[in-house]
Amino acid sequence: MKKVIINSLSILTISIFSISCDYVNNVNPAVDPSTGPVSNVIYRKALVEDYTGHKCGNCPAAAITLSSLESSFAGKIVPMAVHAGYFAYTNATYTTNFQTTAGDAYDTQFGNSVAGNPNGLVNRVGYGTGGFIKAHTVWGSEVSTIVTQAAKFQIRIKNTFNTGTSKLTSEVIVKSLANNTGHYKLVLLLTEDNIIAEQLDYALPVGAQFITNYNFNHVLRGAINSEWGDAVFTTSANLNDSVVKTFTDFSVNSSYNPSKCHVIAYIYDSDSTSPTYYEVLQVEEEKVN
Amino acid sequence: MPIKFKSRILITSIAAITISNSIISQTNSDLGSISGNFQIDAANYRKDTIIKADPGSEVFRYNAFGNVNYVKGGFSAGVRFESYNPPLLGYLPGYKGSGVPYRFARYKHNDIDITVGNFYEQFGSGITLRSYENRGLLYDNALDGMRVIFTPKNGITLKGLVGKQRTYFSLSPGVVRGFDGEINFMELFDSILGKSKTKIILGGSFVSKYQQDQDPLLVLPENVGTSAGRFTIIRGGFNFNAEYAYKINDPSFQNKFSYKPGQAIIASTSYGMDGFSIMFSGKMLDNMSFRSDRNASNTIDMINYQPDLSKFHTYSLMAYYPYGTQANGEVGGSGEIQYKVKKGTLLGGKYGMDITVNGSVFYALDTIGISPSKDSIRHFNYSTNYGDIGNEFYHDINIEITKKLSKKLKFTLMYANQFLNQSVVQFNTLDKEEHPDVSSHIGVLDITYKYKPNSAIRFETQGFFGTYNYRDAKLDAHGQKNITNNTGSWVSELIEWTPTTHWSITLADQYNYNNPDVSKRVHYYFAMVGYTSGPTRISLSYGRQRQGIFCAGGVCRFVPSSSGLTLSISSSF
Repeated sequence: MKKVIINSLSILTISIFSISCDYVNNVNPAVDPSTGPVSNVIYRKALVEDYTGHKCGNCPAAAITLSSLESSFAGKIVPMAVHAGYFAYTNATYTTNFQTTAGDAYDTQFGNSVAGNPNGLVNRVGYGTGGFIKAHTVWGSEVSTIVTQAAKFQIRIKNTFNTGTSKLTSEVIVKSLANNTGHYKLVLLLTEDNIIAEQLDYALPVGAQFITNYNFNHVLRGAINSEWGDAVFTTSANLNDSVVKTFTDFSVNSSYNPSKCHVIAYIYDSDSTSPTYYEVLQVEEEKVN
Repeated sequence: MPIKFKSRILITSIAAITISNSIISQTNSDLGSISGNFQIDAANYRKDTIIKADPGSEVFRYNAFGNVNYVKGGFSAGVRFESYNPPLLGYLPGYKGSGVPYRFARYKHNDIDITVGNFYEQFGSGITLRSYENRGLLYDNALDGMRVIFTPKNGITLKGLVGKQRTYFSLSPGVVRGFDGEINFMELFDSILGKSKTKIILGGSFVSKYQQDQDPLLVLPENVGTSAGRFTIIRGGFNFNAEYAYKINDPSFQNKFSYKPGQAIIASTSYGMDGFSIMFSGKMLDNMSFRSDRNASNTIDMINYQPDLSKFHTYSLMAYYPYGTQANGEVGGSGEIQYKVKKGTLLGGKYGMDITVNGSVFYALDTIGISPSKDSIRHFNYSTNYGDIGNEFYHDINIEITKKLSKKLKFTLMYANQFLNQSVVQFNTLDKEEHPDVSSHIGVLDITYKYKPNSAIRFETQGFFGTYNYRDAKLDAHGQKNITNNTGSWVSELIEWTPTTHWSITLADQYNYNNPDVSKRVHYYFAMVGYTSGPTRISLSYGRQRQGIFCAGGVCRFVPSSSGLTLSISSSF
């Protein structure tokens, strides 16, 4: 009998832990989520990559999340929409080609479209682990973690755009904010806002899901140097070491609107033996014109 | 669940050509026994521009695993090593890597049974909790924690468990806690009711998950519970069982962060007698997706199992447009009658004849969206009218006749009529622009001629005759309706020769003979040689695999077409 009681109690103990339910009567948080750390420390910014496609009806929901995060974490995130994979293919209805060599390379390397759009990467943290690709609903919590971390590098971008020749020159200064050991590369990308084209959106009522004038923002248009970048520090970077890289006379496609374009510059861990391989350590963006 | 779709796509290409051997143990009464099995499926893909198969730079891929288990008396322990660098095409890329995701120790003594480490478990139908593995699909939501099963009296079973779920080679962010109790009244009151012809089993379960709320924009419930009650009545050949489940607010990526509670009813009844059986099943599921990570998609971190009642087809053309349980809601059912025509009758002939008639149909729930302006506090997204049903998702009516004509010759003849509301079931929209409704008539004839005791030759011919309804889809710039996913009709031929018990040779071809796009009238050829010796099987195959789209609750994954050489080895000891 004693044994029966002991065994029953062990089951009961687990059961008691099971009986936990949180009923939510109001889904809205009481505290403004934009409140963050305030100090003179330079914090990491978050590169939020939204892997998407114009034929992906579930993808506008991710764009809405990205937009709300831009408001909630103003100045702390750099958004980028990568159109790649099956849902980005063009056809007679979806005629605008948003695919790029760089975007396709990232999609192939990181496997986003194969994993199912929409999804994304936040600073490419956790490359090689199962949870590396993030649903858009988890981007907010990922960003909130990153933007409270002290940055290892600082990036400053200065753009000069010649409207006559449509040539862009970008000067980028990368400064080490700590004694860093490793191999680091710098990548410059071009994005464009306010592109109006066709998009499928399942959030809309049936019959109205095909949108002819959808507003695409942060669309990756291509790499300014190359998709995997140029080495800036090859073995180590001591505190206050800095490197200046100048990328001259990059031709901006005449169909792009330069006043809606941004240059994104990010530095990442390019040591393939590092546990943080591919991780974006700092990112900045600056308007082209 | 949509898992089945995936299985049909993938099993037809790779998994089906491998046979995972059962575990054969080597026994030593003093030292206990050790048993195990292993399997590797490796493929060397090639670029095939005709079917648009492009494997990228990683052309060599493989799925491999090995189990080793030890048993001595009431004690058992085991480990499983797995390796995917990278996984075969069509499997989730997150599995890339190697490791030991499964290891356990278990001890059973009289009324107590304790497991630490990894374990699989199911409560009732699985609607509150089902932890299981399906190797062909690379589905594994094993729990990692502790489980206690206690049987205080014969007829009473109590289970308690706690743990995290496997997520690729890691663990889910959420913790799962569960309890299940079941009373079998006949066994419990054996002396009083033991001779009763009627058996009654009652059960109940409660499962809760904990996941931290880190969302800056919403207040998320950190503890979410699901409870269920069930009963089974058995009398002679008659069986009836039913389960009802309720889940509290569980906003997730899957349900578009709806805080609406979930509900499910699942029931089935069957009757069997000599040479005849009949079965009916029905279900209603509303917002019952339950995962240990609210942000998970695809088949990751699923705590419960929402049963799929449609028939699992093994013939490839019958399985090309399959149904997958709609995780956010559906209502439907299935029925099956099996009849064995007796020997010596006009139809039965010398050896008898088996006839199976099966049907299933599933509909959307009748739901009404709630305007966001009226829903900003509760965030339900929609309400459900349980008094009605929505649009048809799927139906499948099929008949299968199997007859042995002589000692050497037997055949199977099968016909199916299927309908798939492809856009809704796989793409979550009524927009037919690219994903037309597919209606089809499918026929199969399968003949096996056993010309010697250990030698046989099998012919299989299949035809898929489809019509594609784009409804009000508009015309493109060329004045044509989009025909991207209209592949017209197909035929499939297969010949399988088994000269001895060791060897088998298979040649097959699927031909898209009347694709509206003439350039896509392509042959998907396939050849395989298999060798079996005891528990070991080796097969080598070469051929093409059709592409498809795999969708699960709002997330769609493109399963690419592939072409190449596949090697499979499996064995056990």
